[in-house]
Amino acid sequence: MATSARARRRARGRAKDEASFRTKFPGHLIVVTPPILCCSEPGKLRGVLDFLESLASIVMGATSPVVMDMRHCQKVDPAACVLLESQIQRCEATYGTKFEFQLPKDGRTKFTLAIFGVAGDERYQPDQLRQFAAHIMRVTSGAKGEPSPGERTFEIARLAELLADPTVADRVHGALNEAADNVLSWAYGANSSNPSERWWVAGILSPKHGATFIALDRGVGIPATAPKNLGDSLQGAMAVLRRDRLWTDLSVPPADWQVLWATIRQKRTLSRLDERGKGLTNMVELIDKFQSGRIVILSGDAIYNYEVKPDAPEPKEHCGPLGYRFPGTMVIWWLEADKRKAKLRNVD
Amino acid sequence: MLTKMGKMIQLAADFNPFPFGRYPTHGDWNGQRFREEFLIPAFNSGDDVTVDLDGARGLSPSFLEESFGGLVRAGFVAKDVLSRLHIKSDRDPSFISTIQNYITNVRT
Repeated sequence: MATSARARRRARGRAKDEASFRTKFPGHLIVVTPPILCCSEPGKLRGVLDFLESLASIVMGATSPVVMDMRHCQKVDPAACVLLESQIQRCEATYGTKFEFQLPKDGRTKFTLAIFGVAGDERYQPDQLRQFAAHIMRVTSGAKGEPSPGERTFEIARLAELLADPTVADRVHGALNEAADNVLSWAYGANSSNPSERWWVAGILSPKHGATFIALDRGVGIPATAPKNLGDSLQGAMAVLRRDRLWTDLSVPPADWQVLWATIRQKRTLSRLDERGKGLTNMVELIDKFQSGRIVILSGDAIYNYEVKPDAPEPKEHCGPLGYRFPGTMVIWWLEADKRKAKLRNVD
Repeated sequence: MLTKMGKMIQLAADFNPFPFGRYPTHGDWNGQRFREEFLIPAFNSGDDVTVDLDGARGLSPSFLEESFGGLVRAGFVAKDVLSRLHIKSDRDPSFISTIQNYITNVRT
């Protein structure tokens, strides 16, 4: 009986909550977010991407304002924040959508969304957030023709100054700049100037996990652009990988993951190569400058992983099919602090 | 600035502390602009050219390749550029060989 009474009370609470929500947003189109928005595993990432795709389909023809109902969202990670912010900006730029948010009940999730600048309310003012969470840099975005992108990526990259020496921290900044520059050069086509064609970067630093930096674009992906941009040198790298990795199933045309791996590999191993293509190398080799770190690149139907650990004799490298198409390219760096040089004591 | 080493260009002070990108569509402080407004006039003067990179932040391969490799694409002879160009990069000396490599292996 007690359980039943509790269930009835819960049901009444939910109904009241729902009525209050509907009253707050009359005439709005409601989009409910999934309870988990995380990119840490391919399965979860797919859930995030499916939601983003459905969001675009829903708002495409909408004439009323849209409210994103996040009340039951219990977990969101930094990469998902970047993806969600990118989709919100794209919908705003492409369809003129006006978004409002019903924030999660879960305090941690609500804070994460606010601190990355995705969704907040009057209680979460950016300046105040920066004061007590200086180790998190909100999602920053840029597009072609904007005056000083390097200054904005610096705001993110300077987090690395707390976990490495200034030279290495500057390399983080260089890698973020290169990621953004590659987006402007290749991801959307050289002559395109659509306002939704942007790059997004964000960063977070923690004493436990070191630093995470994320760079994203929503373009056609490296596997689509690399064959055209790199030509013969890519074929050479493909042949080397075919020999080294015993690829017997090199399809024609090659799979996305084979193109991505060859793109990265040809830049890391050939000496006289097209310097125009070295940006990706720069991004991967950044990991070698830390005692421990990992980079994941998601692009098209491919996932590349490169990991350095202090107790492992060799870096671990793998590239394979993602199992579905990532809409663009996302690069995630996890960089562990050099314990001798880290200045993380004041960061909580 | 004219010094004993010929012309001196301080990237951060004379151009911008946050250079970014290859082309003007990428932002105001791009490699093509640096090359056209600073490097080419300096090399055309006939003097040696010293470029001080210290103070500039987040130098990326695209910016550096377009600035320095672009000199060869603009018609300068790589050997001549290498003999007259002096790079000062105390903060990260690896940029010196990187830039020399961009000039030597430029894509034409």
